[in-house]
Amino acid sequence: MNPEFHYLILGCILFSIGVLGVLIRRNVIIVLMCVELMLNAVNLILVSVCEPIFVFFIMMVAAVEVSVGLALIARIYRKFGTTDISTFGQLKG
Amino acid sequence: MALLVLISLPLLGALGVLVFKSRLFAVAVSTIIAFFTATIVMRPDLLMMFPSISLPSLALTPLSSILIILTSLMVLAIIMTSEDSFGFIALLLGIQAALFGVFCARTGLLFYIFWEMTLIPAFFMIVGWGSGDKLKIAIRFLLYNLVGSFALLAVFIYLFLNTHSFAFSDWMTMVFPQSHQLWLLVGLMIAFGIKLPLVPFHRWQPDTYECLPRSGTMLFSGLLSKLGIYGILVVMVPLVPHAMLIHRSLILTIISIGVIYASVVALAETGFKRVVATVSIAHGSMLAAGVFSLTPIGIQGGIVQIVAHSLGVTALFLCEPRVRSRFYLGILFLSVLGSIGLPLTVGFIGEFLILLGLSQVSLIYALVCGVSIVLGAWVMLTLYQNVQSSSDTPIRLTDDEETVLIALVSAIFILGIFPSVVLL
Amino acid sequence: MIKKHWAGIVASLVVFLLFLTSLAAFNRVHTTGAFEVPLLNWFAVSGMSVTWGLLFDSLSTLMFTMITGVAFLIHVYSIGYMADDDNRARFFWYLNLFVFFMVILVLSDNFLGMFVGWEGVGLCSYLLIGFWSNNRSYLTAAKKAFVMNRIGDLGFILGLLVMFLTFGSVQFSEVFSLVQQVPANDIALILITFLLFVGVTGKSAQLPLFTWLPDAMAGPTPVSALIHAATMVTAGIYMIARSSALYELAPQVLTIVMWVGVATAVVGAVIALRQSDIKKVLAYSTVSQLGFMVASLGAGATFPALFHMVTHAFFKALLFLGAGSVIHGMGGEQDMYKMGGLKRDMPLTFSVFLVGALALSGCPPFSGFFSKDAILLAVHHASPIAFYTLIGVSILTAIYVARMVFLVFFGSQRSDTHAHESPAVMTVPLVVLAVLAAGAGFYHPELELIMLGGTVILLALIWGLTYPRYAVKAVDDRCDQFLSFDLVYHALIVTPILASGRLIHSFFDRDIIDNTAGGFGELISGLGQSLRSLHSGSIGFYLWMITAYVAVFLIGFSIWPF
Repeated sequence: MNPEFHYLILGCILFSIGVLGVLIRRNVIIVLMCVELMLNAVNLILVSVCEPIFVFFIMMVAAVEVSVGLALIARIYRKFGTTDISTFGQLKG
Repeated sequence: MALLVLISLPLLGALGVLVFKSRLFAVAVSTIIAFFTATIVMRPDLLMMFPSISLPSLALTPLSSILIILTSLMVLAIIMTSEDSFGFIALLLGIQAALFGVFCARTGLLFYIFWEMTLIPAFFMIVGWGSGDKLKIAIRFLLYNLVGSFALLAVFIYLFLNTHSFAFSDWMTMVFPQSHQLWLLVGLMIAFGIKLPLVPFHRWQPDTYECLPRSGTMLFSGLLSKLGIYGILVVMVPLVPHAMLIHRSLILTIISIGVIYASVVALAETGFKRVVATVSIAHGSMLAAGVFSLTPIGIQGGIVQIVAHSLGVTALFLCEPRVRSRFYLGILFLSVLGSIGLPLTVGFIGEFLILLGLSQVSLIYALVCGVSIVLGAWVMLTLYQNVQSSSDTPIRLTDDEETVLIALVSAIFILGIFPSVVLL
Repeated sequence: MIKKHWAGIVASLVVFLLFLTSLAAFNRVHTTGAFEVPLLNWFAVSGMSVTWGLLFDSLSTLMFTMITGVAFLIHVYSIGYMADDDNRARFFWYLNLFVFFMVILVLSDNFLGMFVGWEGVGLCSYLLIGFWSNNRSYLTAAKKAFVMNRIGDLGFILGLLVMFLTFGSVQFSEVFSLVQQVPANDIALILITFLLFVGVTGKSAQLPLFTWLPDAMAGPTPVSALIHAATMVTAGIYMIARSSALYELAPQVLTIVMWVGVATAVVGAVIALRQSDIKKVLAYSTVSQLGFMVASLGAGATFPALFHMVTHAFFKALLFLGAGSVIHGMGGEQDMYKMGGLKRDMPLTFSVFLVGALALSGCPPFSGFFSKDAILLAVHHASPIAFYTLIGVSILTAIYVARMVFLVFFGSQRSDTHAHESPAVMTVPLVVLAVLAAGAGFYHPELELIMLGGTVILLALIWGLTYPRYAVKAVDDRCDQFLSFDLVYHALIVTPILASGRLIHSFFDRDIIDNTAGGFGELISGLGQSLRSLHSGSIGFYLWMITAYVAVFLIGFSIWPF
């Protein structure tokens, strides 16, 4: 049982928590936070298993994604007055 | 190289027609094309002036020579008698280029590309110049033919994967396992049977022919339907002769039933164009029967009948009832005689050879297909007498129409007496 | 006057020239022997070639002479008959075209060339029956004649096909020499002869393809005389006579031929007895007499059949032209029950018609007696039953002939129309034909005085017994639809075919094929509709789907990596 293995397990657990959160939670900000959690879990796994160089890419993607996502959420909130994803049915059909 | 020029001439002509908007230009272009075609076929040595880049993918065979001459003359006739606008003529020339391409192609790739190329202008012809429920009919036409093209594509891809080449010469020398041959046969039957059309793939045809303007019907019946039989002769027969031989009885049975089917339905159809369209299906099936008999005589009969049928239906559709002058009735009657295969017309020779080929397989097929000559006479005479007795007001035929009709009918009878031109 | 009749004069001259040619050919054949005139190649396909050529031998020159001779007389007659018709130029053009095709038929040196003539005369028959194209029922009769002929032609073609397959050729010279090497009762030979006979059934109006002939009476009377009495219908007789080398080796088919002929003779005579239209009587009479000829051929006796064919051509053409004269004189009336007493008004027509009638009844010394006698003798050798049947038919023949003559020419005038005699251009050919009908018969190898005397007594009895019924009283016993095969055919064949056409069109075409093709379209769009429910718009659902797909992909990839 080397140290990498523990980090790997931790990473997987964090990833699963993130996935579960994305699927279950109804508040769109929480969903975004869970996506962040998934990204960072992947970061952890990558660092523990192979080259740490990939971490920079993932962190860059996470940053961009968060900024755009939050801006979109702010817009959506202003338009619909709620952050409950079960009410966002406009893409139907 | 000369063939490449041949294919591009109609395309240039189409552009020219759209630019210059002149009927005279269109007639001139198609006359030039006709002369060029005749030169290529009869005196290839005169074309040495073209740089001799030999493209192995485009070449002339005796069968394709007959067909490209037929194409160029028919298109000339159609343009001369067309009453439609320049867009239509441009599309017509586009289709002519595609037809030349199909008949000269010696690789599957080119064959398929030109085959598909006929469909889009055809679709626009129906939509742009048709009558009645034209969009629905055009879409039905397109879908039926696309299914056939899809089958053709599937077969060609299979062949490519197995031989890593598109050339016909490579494909025809390859031997395929029995089970594969059957699938190839079925695929090609679907592809070419839809084009001909053969029963049971024929339902797109009567509506389409009725909807098109007169020139369009002449084009579709006289030329586009020949693509089907050409495909059978050039692709199917050299590719899977064993499978065709094994299943010959079944195929001939289906086709013979189709001949009777179409003849009987023709009795029930109403409307000049629909009746002639349905009779055309019967003739096409008979033609196919000749080819599928796989006897040299039957195949020869099929080839003769290609010319006979093309001349015949074009003349018939040109005779769409408008007048009751003595000349018109006479020409219509002569066309009817050509269609029912009276001896001394080229249709008789084709029919007789086909029946002879069929009788070499079994006399029953000859009997069943022969019944169509009785039913055909019944249908066509009824049609003629309906026109004869109708009380439409007479309109004069234009000089162009008279000339073309005389030319077509004379060809039917002259070839009937001296058929050596179309016998390979 | 020449300007008015130029078409008829030119046409008659052409036929007269042909007649002279035929005489020259006839003479040459009977002095130096048969000769051939090959013309040119028609077509040749993979080892099989067909040529155009002419063969002049005793059979073909006989036919040639008879056809052109009778045709010439009828052309001249038609100048008078069609004098007031606006379309007479077209009439003569069709008539000449007919003679052209008929000559090709009899002079051709191969079966396919004969077939060109065969179909060609069928075409001209169509054109001439439907000549007065304003009348829709005439056009229908013409169409029916052509289609029924085509059924026979199909048999002919099939026979040709088997001939090609068996002998590799359709040239008379090749086929007739090759057939010597074929054993008797060969199945191919039986097929060929039978199928060719089917063609004869159509063209020569035998059972069951005879109903077109009475309908063909819709055409002008000269047409009926030429085509439907003297020439086209004899094409079948010629064909069998020509192919006798084939038929000799297929005795089973000959038996069928004979009995078909006998049956036809009976049916024709029986129906003729009840007709009211003078042309219909003659039409059914022709059917019956053709039956005689066919029966003779079936009995293996070619010469009596040909003999009767020639005499029949003379007297039947005479009768038809005479009937035409009557109709012309009566202003278009064809119903015998509206005639009567015409022997006073049209004495010349009456006399020639009487000659024809006596010849048809087989009364000596007219030609009909000798030829009919020859046939009866031949049939007697083959089958006694057939012989007695044909004797019965001869009796019926005499009865209906007498009935016809008495109704038309004797008794009181039943109509107000004042009948007038026809002009000379019509009566002269009548007289010529009468002379031929009277005198052409003096050739009989086995003349027995018993036959001669018996015939005269029998005929006198018949004429005597029918005289009071028809000449004096004019009993109306018409039944124009008697034994109408036509109605049967119409019900059993025409109507079902048309109905099945409509049925197939509505059921197979529309319901099955269209719905199947449409069904495919429906299927695809239905599939699309059902997949559409996946676009719920609910983000949560989408997220679940994404996760599920990724998971499945990962698991799958770990199990089956490509």
